[in-house]
Amino acid sequence: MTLVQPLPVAAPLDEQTLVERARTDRDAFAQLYRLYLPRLHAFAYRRCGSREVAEDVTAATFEQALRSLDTFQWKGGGFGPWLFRIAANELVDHYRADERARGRARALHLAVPADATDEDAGAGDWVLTDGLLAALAALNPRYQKAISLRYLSGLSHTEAAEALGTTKPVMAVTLHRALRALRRTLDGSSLRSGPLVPCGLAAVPAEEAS
Amino acid sequence: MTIDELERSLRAAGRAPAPEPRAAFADTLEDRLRAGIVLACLPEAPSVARRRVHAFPLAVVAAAALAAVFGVTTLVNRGVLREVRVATASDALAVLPDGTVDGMAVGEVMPDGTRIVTGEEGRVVAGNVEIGPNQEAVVSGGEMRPSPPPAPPTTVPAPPSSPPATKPKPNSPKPSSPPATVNSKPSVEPAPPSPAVEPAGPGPAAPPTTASGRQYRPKDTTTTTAAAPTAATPQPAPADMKLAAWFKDKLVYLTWTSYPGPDFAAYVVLRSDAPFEPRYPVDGHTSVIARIQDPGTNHAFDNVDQPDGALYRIVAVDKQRRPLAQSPAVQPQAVSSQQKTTR
Repeated sequence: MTLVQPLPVAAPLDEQTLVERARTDRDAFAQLYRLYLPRLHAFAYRRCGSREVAEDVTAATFEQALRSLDTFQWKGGGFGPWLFRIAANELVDHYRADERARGRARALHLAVPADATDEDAGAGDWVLTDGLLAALAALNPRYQKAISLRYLSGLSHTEAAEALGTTKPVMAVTLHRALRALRRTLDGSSLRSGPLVPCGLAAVPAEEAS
Repeated sequence: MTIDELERSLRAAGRAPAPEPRAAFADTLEDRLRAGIVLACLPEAPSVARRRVHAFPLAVVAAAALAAVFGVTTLVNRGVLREVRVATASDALAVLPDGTVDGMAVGEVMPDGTRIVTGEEGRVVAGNVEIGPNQEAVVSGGEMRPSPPPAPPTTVPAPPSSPPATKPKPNSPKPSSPPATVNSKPSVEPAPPSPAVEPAGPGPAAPPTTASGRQYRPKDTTTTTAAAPTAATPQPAPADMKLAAWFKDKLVYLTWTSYPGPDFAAYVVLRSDAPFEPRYPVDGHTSVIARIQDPGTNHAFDNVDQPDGALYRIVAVDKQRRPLAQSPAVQPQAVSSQQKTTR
């Protein structure tokens, strides 16, 4: 199994300098782009399970960042959480705009590998479960963003709170409520995350899988 | 499923490997970002600002609206409001101050610094100002200010004592780069210091231009003799420049990364009809549509009947007109209505 390795992130001072330079220098922005592209793309992909949507969201995120860079103010979390906040907003907007996504059988990668000890397991060996995508998309936007930023972005708790625009304690409370809401949504839905199923089997509702 | 199980699953999902972004996607997006071309990929998505407005209580919205009306009135009275609203627009492109290339639609607001270019059948009306076909205008001080009307076509090359290539354009956008004068200058060919190194053949290499800077391909410019270079034929330059091209109707907008190296003398903008790639030295399929001597200029306009059938390339050359760097051949992409950015 190959886990995603955290990308080398420039020291805060360097990144801050780069961000300041990026306000007027497209090359500097391109450096930031290359630094964050894999992480943002992975975040969007995990959230939606679609390469096309992930690319759309990634592009929209960087374009929005470029448009809004003049308004960005460096705070504790730095540039990364700000960028992920934009991405989370774009994802919420995407699902809000595309209601069909809720009924789509595209699955969220909300699972563990079939055999977590199998070092050779590739991306195709990951088990997809159905329903989580619809359940997540059914939550209110703030809960969607809290869950996505905390669990799917690779951000730390502090960074996720920064990206959500709140403090750590409030983030914890929001996250707890979001998880409860997600569980309620799953319980009330015919589509459940269900047990993990072996690779190669289609992701099916829990009742059918059993 | 308990909350703990749910949380474990979510954590596992966050650690799951995700595919790398495709190289073509990554490169294309980087090109667009470098060029400053920002188009909304999710046009249906409401903006952050609008979304938040929905969340405001009605009273707050009403109060804000009153304040806005008062503020706008004050600004208008003081002449501070620096934007114009488009009343009529056809066959026109707008380059917003941030570099965004956009089509134009009725009702859109063009902020100060926007550059407007019309095509051969173009017309734009904003406020009390109207511009016709093949004209440029800049939004400045809350007004659309047309560039001087085009003069009759003049032929080039010009003598060595011809005026400098960069025509000053007040109130031009993009403060980080020189004014958008790629097409607002005569296609002046400096006299080569050495004999006959200019690779362009007769005719297309020096297309007629207008004083407004719009340079058009003559009707019969697809024929260029390939035997033009006679001495020291330049070697192909490394393809290390980036070029992006967008079009709406017949109007093409080109933007590229500046050449930072020494010995720079000019950018040569080349066009050919697909599938033939534009080449430098020019061949029988290549036309030189502009020569820009300002190293800071990084964009140009072109007007062509079938933009999606054209290919463009930018080449940086030295004083001996030897290529220093060039971009790959690029086919313009349409600025679709769905990608329009409403300002």
